[in-house]
Amino acid sequence: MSLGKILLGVLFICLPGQVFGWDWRTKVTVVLKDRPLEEVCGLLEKEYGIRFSYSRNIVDLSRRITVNIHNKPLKKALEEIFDPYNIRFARIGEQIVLTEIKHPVYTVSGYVQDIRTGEKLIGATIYSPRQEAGTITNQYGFFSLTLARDTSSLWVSYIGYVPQRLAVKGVGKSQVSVVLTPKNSLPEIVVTDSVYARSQTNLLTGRMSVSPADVKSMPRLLGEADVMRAIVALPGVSGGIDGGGALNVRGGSPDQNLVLLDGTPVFSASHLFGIFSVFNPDIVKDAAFYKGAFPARYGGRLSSVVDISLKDGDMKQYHGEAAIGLIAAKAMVEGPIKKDKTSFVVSGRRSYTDLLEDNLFNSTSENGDENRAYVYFYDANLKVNHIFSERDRIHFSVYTGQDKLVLNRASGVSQQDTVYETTKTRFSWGNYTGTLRWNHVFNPKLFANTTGNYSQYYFYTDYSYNYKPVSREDTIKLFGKYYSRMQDAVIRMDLEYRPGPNHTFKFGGGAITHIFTPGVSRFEDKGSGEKTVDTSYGAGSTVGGEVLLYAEDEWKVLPSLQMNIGLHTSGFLVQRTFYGTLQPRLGAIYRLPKNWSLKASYTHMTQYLHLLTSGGIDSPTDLWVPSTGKVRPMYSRQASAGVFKTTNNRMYTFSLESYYKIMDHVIEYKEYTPFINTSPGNWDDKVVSGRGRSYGGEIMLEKKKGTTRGWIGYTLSWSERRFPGVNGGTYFPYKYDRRHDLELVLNQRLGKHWDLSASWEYTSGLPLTLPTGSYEGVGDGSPYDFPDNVPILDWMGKRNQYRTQSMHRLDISATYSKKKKWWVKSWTFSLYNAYNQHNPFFFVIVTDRKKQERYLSEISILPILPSVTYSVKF
Amino acid sequence: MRYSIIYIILLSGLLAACQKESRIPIPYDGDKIVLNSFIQPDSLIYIRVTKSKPVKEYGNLQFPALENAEVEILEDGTRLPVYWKVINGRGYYVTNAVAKEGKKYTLNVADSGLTSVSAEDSTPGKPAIKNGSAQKNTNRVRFTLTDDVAKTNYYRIRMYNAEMVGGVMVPNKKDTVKFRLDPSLNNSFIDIIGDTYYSEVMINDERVNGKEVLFVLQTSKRVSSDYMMVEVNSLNAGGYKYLQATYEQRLGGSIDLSLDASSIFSNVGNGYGIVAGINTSWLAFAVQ
Repeated sequence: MSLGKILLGVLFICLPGQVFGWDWRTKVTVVLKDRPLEEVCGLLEKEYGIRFSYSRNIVDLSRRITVNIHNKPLKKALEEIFDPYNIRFARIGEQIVLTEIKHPVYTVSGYVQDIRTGEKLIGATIYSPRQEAGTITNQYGFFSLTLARDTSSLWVSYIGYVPQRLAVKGVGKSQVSVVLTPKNSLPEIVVTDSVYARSQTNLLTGRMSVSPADVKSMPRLLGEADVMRAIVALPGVSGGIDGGGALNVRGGSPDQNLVLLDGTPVFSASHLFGIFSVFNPDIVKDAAFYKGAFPARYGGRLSSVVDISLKDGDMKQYHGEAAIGLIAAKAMVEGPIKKDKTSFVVSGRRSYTDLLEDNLFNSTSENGDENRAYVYFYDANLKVNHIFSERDRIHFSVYTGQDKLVLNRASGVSQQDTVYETTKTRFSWGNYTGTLRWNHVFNPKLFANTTGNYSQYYFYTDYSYNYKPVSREDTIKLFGKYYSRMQDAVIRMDLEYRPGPNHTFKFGGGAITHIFTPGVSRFEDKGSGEKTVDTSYGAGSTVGGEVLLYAEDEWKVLPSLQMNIGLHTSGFLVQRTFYGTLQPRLGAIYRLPKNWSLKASYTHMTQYLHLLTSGGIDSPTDLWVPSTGKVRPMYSRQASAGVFKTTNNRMYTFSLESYYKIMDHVIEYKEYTPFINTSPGNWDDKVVSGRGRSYGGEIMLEKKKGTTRGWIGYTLSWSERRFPGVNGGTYFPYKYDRRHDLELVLNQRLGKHWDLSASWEYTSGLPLTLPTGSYEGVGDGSPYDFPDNVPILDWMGKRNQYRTQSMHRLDISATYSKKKKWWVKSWTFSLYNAYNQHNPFFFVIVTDRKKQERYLSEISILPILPSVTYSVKF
Repeated sequence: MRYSIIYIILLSGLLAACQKESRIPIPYDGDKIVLNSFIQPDSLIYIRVTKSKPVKEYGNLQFPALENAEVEILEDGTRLPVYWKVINGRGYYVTNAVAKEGKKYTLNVADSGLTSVSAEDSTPGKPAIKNGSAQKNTNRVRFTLTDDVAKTNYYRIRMYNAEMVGGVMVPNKKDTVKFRLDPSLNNSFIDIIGDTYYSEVMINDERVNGKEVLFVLQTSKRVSSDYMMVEVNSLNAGGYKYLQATYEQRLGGSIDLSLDASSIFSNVGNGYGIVAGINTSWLAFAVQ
């Protein structure tokens, strides 16, 4: 061998080590925690002289990674580092060149459902840890995820269910059906883990999921769990301090909340003046709540969306629940009509206060006059779900609910009386809804839902008066009725297209026919046969037509940046007046290290409906009216921003959010308009249009795991209105303005059988208008007719310039559950207003002529209320 | 039965409202002149001038009259002399001449230490009513009102038992008959559904404009008097708003600040009260 050959051989053998200093077998150690991939490259270059070459436009090295590699061959180490991110590496000369691997992709789609019942699970997470890509099931339990073909498995998880690995290799074109097993089948106490689902969904879309478990963790007022009460306990939301009441979200009025029951708007969401919501908790599957960052698919209200989905019914076997409490009884049955094809769920609930004999409402006076009164409410739901094929299924549901109050009075029933006289007054109000939905899967990436629905809210009262003298012919039979009604008929189509894990396109359109009947009265003297004139707002209905189109994209812009960009456009035609709006919607979240996230949103919303409210409180008599040529649609702009943090073990979450909202064309009755006005003429001549603004901050700290759970929510807010002619045309505090609102909710599990809940609410004083002087009144021109008592009048100060004192209330409940062989029984004991706090509900000026005193008096209602409920579940 | 007991306890709690004096301090805007006068054609004009007080009061619910105030009243710009007179223990400034129909009256009042006030209104036409009738032991009283189509009219209706004194029928004003109007005429939703009777009823002519309308008044008690009188006042918009807004307080009720803290109409600049024209028609009839 010549010297030359030997030297050449040495050169070739030594070259990698001497010239490049490294080869694939070079042992490397890389330890980094939550650092960008770019730093891995920098470390290898610094420690081992390994240079990397790549284009930032093609290869994204900003993704964060935690690496713990000790003394591994370079090639294996690089495979471990780059493969999960689809980054290919190759040695070219003294450099390692990085390029992106273009994988062929394929789409996995299907439904996620409960293994026992076949119930579709809303908001279940389907996730590929290797590719850090995932999605959630939509409102119908459907998902679609497009991934690299070499993805071997997905993880599927949902609140309260055992996460499951889904092997996707070999999955063909057909849909998959992922069945999840509850953590405790037929549990004595429902143990739930909402951590993953809630944080994820919250981050992705601004949607707050209120699961049945969340609802049942709240204390049960009068034995009833209530989805609306759980929502009221969230920051940014308030209701009446006594008894729930209407929903006020971020300074908005109750009519600014879009409450959907299986996609159908519900105009009145409470029974018994706000004590119960109309949603029977036994059949509520999921509730989504939005108070900002509204996706473009929602529209028609300014302040919030409450989207409630009912159970579809058990596809496998029959189940049921029944409960009886002091106020109401209820029952629910679900099961298959045809196994795995058709299911049903039916439920009913009724208070039975009217069925019990009691002397509270029924009385007979000394002169024989008889008075009877009774009140009750009921609601009923029916839902049928049928699977035609893998691609097609329909849901049909109906709901009816009503509150009824009847007052009877009879006089002259004794023998001595010369006249027999009876009056009967009936009030009823409630909702009817009907929904038909058709889900169709065009292909694994394209899902469609077509909905037709009808909703009606009505208030009806009638009055009959019979008068019959014993000795003469002067019989009077007077009958009068008054009713108001709001009807919506909706047809719409919603489509979801998921081309890949980075985009979910949602788009669709629809048409709504709004029929407004703001107050019709009819009177008839049957004795004389004369029909009297109508005193209502026009004795007829006004029809408004609304069309809408929307499109939105849930876009994963960067691994750390996700956005929801959308546009909702709608037009409204009423009485030859047309309004059209473009409503941009933008929501974004940016993920920071250590599970911190930044959120921001900006939305426009338009509302073509108004609610005419008389006086200071909301009541069933309030009238829904349309926008007209004189009263423009309400229009809001809202911006919000905040931070969100989840601890590593997902035990705790923390959120801080601020918002600013402007509402144009809010209305109220003009001054000096009589209480509950039914006078003729156009209602829009009797209202004044103004502007509202609200702003504030919300903090929420939640513990989501363990036997002790709960949250603390705090809201600091301002809500103001401005109307021409009120307080000099300047902003004044709106009636729902609460400066400080604190909510504490605690749920404690004790052993296998006991579940304790408590909630405490504190709110600083509510706005109050007080008189600022009293003076002598007059009723007649002649001083000789002056009454014995001087008429004392009070001059009202500026609107809402004063505050009531702070209010607070504690509710507690304890539920004991015991599992039997075939069923679970439970007893629920609850205390509403546990320490009997007297929160003022009304304020009146009392005049005591005898003592020559005048003072401000406050009246509180709803003292401590104990209740017990027994229920069984099979 | 035990269940009923629990239920009654529960409902008792539900219904048991608790009332107490509030600790919230009531503000006071300071003393102001209160000017009150309903000006009736063919009658002297009586002007009551008092001073306002804080709302919270212990020991004295009377309002001090301003006896030394400077009171000026102009009839279509012409000053009318006034003098101080005490009637039934209350002091009034009274004109020497009677008011006239269709005239505009302007009142200016000043008093030392207080901001001067002024107000004005005109006197409306007399309401046209006829054909009053009622039957004993029934609870219906009827009369006919003819509305003037040329004007926007506002009415107040009151009803009294009456007696014959020296051949003249005189209303017993201490015995106001409580009644309610046919709900189709008074625009009150409460009347449709409620069982409330009133000492007076206010209506405007929205539903009766230019018509001759038969009013049927339903009395709370059966008619027992031999004679009755119906009083109908014609008002302008200001007087109507004032009487409507003050009904509860004038007649002894209290205001609910939570439900309806609406302002009382006043046309007295820089002060409180009302100056309003009023024109009254009486209908007297024997009960059958």
